[in-house]
Amino acid sequence: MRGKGLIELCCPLKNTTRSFYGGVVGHRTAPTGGGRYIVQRAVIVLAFLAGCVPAARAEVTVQDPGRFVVDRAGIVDAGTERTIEAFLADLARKTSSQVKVLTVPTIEDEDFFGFVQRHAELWRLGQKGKGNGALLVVVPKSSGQKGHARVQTGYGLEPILPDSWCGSLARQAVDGYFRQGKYSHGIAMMAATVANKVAKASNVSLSGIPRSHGRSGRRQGGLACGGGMLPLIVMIVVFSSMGRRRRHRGRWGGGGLLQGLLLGSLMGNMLGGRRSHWSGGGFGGGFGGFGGGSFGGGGGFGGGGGGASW
Amino acid sequence: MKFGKILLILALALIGGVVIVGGCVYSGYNKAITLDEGVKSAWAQVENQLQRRFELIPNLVETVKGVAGQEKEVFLGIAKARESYFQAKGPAAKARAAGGFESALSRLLVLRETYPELKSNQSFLKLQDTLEGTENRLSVERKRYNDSVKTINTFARKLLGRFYASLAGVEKAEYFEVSEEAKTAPKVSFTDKSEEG
Repeated sequence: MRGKGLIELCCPLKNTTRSFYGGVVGHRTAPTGGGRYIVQRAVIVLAFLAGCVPAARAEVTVQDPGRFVVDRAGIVDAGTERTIEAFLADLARKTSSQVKVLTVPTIEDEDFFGFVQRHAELWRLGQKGKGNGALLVVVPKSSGQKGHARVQTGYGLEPILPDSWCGSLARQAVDGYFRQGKYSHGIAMMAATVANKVAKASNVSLSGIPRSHGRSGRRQGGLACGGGMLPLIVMIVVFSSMGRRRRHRGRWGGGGLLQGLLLGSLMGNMLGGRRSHWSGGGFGGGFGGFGGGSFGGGGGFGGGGGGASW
Repeated sequence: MKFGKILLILALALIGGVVIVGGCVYSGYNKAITLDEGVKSAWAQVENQLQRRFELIPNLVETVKGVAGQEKEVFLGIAKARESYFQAKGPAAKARAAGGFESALSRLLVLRETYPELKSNQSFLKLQDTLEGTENRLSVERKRYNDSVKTINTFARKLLGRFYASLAGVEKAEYFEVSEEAKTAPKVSFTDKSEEG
């Protein structure tokens, strides 16, 4: 017996009971419970059968939630995730190129390239007509399936991130980090390298990329001794870019105030020092509010990119 | 009712009918043309990628020759497959030739097992990446082409669609299908088999 459903609320009938699908089952005043009981059972059986849809080939699909790092597999620690979000949002703001990171625990029966291409076409990263989006996908190795890592490039980024470069980067991440289970470091390295390359191609410099994640393969944890210099460098970089009076799209029409707030939150993050200690969730949350809600601009993906499995 | 009035109503109905039918034919004809152009442009993309693949192959072959020069049969197979692709005309024939090429290519990649030094050869790996990229792009374009073929064939088989298609001189298109030989031959695989398990 169902409680008052939506149909019941919308179209109440006196002295009647509605079935699951809204059809009238019986009258409350009717003393014969038997007939009503049979009909209700039939409806329950039908509902059950309707639910038993023949299983299609198992596929995992993740919708774009608007963040830059979508960590469904839970392999990126919170501090690293915030760092990556920061510089990827910075990249999107400065170059309109959208680079996102996706991790999933499993891709079921699908082949990896198909999975990545399907999501790239679904999320449509990058601007329409320019196709300057890229999607980094990592599937951690687990019992019963291989680990995969891939950089998928949109049409516009194909010349900047050629297939062989992406393949080499993926192999480097796999050999240096993923094989040892250091997913956070590896993903941060990949994202930072991709972001740097795209930024350099557009002649902008990004703030918020920790120095230890260079491609030289130095694996020191935390910021190097230049940590004290870094906020100063960041300030210089950001002030000079602000001075260049870049015209932003409508979303950033707030102009100076927004930039100031962003600068403040970035500074807060940088001055926090070590990766794992961020100066309060407040900054992180505040930044998430601006950076979040960044959805694909309609960029096309042709299947370019490179990856590695292990 | 006056006779003139009936005549007027009939005339209006007739004109109305003609306008409606004319509109249908107009839009149907245009749709046939649009779908046909869609198929042609999708095929052009496929040919782009096939072309690119055939341009990349010689470099890959050269790198492999440097290590496994004595495997003449494999190189001959690739050269022949390349020839037959360039001689083929039309989507179906080109698809068959492409399938034949894939089996030749997979025989080349099998050499990685016989000559493990290829796997650590950086230029080979880079070329493999680029070739793999082309194969991936090819699969994406092939899918899009086949989707466009499906759309136009469905349209051209429908009752009215048949009429519009023949009016516009548009014919059904051929799918880019995997040839029988390519189905049985070892699949082109870029992953390192020794890493599995």
